[in-house]
Amino acid sequence: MGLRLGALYLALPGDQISQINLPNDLQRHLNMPYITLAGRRIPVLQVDDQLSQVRAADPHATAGHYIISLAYADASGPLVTRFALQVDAVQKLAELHHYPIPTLMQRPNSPLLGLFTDQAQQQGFVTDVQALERFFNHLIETPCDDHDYPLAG
Amino acid sequence: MTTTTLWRVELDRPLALLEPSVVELVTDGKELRVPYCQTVLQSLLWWRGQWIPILRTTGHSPTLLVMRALNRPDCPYIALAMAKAPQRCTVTDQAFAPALALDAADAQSPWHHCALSAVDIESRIVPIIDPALCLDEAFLEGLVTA
Repeated sequence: MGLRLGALYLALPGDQISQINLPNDLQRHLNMPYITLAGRRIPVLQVDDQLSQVRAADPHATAGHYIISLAYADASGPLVTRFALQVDAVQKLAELHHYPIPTLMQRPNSPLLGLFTDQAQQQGFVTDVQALERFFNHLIETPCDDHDYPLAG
Repeated sequence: MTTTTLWRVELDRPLALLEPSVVELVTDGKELRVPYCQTVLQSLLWWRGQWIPILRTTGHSPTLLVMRALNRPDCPYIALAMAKAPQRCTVTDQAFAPALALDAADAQSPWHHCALSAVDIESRIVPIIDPALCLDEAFLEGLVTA
């Protein structure tokens, strides 16, 4: 699936998106906005298109945003969702051409695993939920325990 | 007396490259900015069917010199951004300096970490750069803090 966050264009495996919500599905517990998935509170984050600033999603986000819940299979098999991301657009992607990003360019914990060119010859970046989680864990401070995110590991 | 062809590059100070290190001058290349990268390596150049990193130490400089980084299979090419095109020059063996003569400013230059040797060009001792050493992490950090 293709995700757009401002000028940032990401490709993420489709099976790692467990749910798509609209901003009016956002609820708030203390300082952390969340959506509900299978009875659990999933904290919602947003990041700028330069990947320089991570913060809690804007609960007053206007129409045109989406909340995607990101899931991955843990060691025991079932899909686990630990966070959600506010994005500008979600779209299906056709077959992509992949290219590597030289490792030496990237800062530690970069969530960008490679480059792609889509059918419209637009360039974007390949990521996956594990890489995003490492990135968010690296950047987010945990000043209080009023939400589920981030978790250890 | 034998001679050697070099390319002289002007960044914040003159540098030299051996002929085998220089591949192509690109003046209108397709660039892609990559978020969350090293300060001096923030863009890629689309070149001959691959994306190669651009080392940019100055402001916006559209002239790019593609250099070959020998012994770096992980990154065999790197583009160096510069304000003006490099100049080809020929030097004699006698122009090669046994060591870099360091004045106070040059001694601080991180480029000296990438120097294979040095050469006297127009009465100035200029380091000859090995592009593979430009990919060294300590050098890249040195560029940022210089």
